Amino acid sequence: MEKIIIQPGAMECDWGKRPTVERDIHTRVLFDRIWWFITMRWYAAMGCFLGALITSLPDVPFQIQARYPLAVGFGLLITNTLYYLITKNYAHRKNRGYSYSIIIRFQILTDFVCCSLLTYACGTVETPVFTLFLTHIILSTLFFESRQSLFTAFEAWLFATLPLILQCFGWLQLNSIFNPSLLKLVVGSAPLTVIFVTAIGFCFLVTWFLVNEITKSLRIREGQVVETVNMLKRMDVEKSQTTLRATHELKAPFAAIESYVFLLRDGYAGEIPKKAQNIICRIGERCELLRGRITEIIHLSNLKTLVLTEMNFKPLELGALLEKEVRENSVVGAQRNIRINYEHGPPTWVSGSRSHLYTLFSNLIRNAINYSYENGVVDVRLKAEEGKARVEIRDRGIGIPAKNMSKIFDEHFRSNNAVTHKKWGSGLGLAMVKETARMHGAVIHVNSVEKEGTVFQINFKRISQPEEGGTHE
Amino acid sequence: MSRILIVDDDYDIVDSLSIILEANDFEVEAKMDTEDLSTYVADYNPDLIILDIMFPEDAQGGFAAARELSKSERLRHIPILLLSAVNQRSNMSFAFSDADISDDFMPVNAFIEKPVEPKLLLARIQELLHPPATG
Repeated sequence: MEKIIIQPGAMECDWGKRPTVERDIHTRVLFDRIWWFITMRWYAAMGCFLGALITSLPDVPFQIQARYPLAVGFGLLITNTLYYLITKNYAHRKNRGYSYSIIIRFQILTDFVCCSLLTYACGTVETPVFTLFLTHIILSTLFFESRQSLFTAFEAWLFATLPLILQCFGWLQLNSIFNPSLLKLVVGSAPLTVIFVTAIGFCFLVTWFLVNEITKSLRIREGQVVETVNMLKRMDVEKSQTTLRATHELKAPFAAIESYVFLLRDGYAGEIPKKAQNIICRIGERCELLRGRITEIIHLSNLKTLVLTEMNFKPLELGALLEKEVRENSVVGAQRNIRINYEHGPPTWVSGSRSHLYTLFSNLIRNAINYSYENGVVDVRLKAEEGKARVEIRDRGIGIPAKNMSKIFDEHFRSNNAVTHKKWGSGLGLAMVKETARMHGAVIHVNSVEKEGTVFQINFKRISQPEEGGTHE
Repeated sequence: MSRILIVDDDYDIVDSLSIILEANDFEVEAKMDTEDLSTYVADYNPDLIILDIMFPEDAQGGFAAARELSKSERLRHIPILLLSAVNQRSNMSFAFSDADISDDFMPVNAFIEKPVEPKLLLARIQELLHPPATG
């Protein structure tokens, strides 16, 4: 038995992954960053609780009052839950980009209050806790424009030095975890306090400047990407419209010819000799073939240049989709007394484009019928496996010669035994199947034995049943 | 005798449809564009409208015309049979069938694809003009 496997990654361009370009990239990026920030804050809260636990252990070499990390931990837990709920609530709203910026601003402000408290708890000049502020300065250059991130750096400087300044003025009790003499030295001397506060400010400013320079170039790149995506979207719309118009312009004349053929055939123009009737029917058949061929060529070219907006992927239930396809093709099969058996298990969901999957299954089932012997049987099976949905289409027909197995997905290729068995065919059906499978990230396996039959197996990535928005057809 | 209005920019399609319909005792009137369609329909008062989708000035002119007619209290009762050469299910732009007909998306009563099989056309028209009573 000859085998061939077509995998999405094996082609010259990989359609295995579904493009997920959002309408507004900036909003999407902000949204992702908020979630990342929220996730990090859960870890930070856990770290605070762990810190509180460690400080309460006997014989620790420092003296941090457990109430501070506990307060910060609970503060983070409460505010983070709040931000989580707000962000979730805003996820489906319009103009959410602006709301996301405000949420991030408040998140950073909350963190600064927490970091300030930790700085005080850990000793203002004894530990490098103030470096926690640096992470926020770096992150804010990613979130915001230069001026906004500079303001965040200024905020960080204020909050980082606030405990020291308050201790200096005597408005806050001196707090030291190792040796209070260093703190007393800094707090007791105004020039030293100024130098210390200025040094921290300088450190923050340099950090902001360096990171800002890097993110500036990244932002320019991001802008270029957005511009390119928008351009591609515009091109896509233009291409769709041109394709639609071209399809119409090419098909309409044949539709008109066929309409007249129907009139002649059905006697609307009076009695026609039998021989002329046969000729008219042949004209009609060739018109229909040409019309189909035009559609296939345009469709294939569309599939190959498919980008972004046309990929309208939705959760789809394969069982119902296949059932409809089997039902429609059973009529075609019945003309040559070919039966289609359809077996399927529980509902199996995949993410895909309904119209494209129809094309894929329709082509494979139609091929199975076309290349079966009369009175034959075609089996269509849908099986749900671990993370996979497997569709199998088996015929007991003419099969594919071993030497041609590698060419069956090539455009316009038809093996000699196929041409002998069925004269008319474009040789584009399997090329469309290949492209459609690739854009769905599906893997095709083909096994065939000449004069015994062929099995096409298509493995899709299975998804769980959607709560809403899925379609059974 | 039922009156049918054909709205299509393709003369040959209008001609072939007219031959079929007139041979089956329908009174046929044709309009080659969708301009002032509501006024035209109100004047002619057809029992059924056969409407093309694509027109030279608007690739989806048929949809727009159907929506306009559906908004009119006086005209919305007239059944519309949508007709187009572009409706392969595989086509990405007009991927629809009868199942897709809805008041919002496509306020029409039925859809058929060009070229029109005379028997299918007559059957559809009969269904629309004399819908089976629903319980």
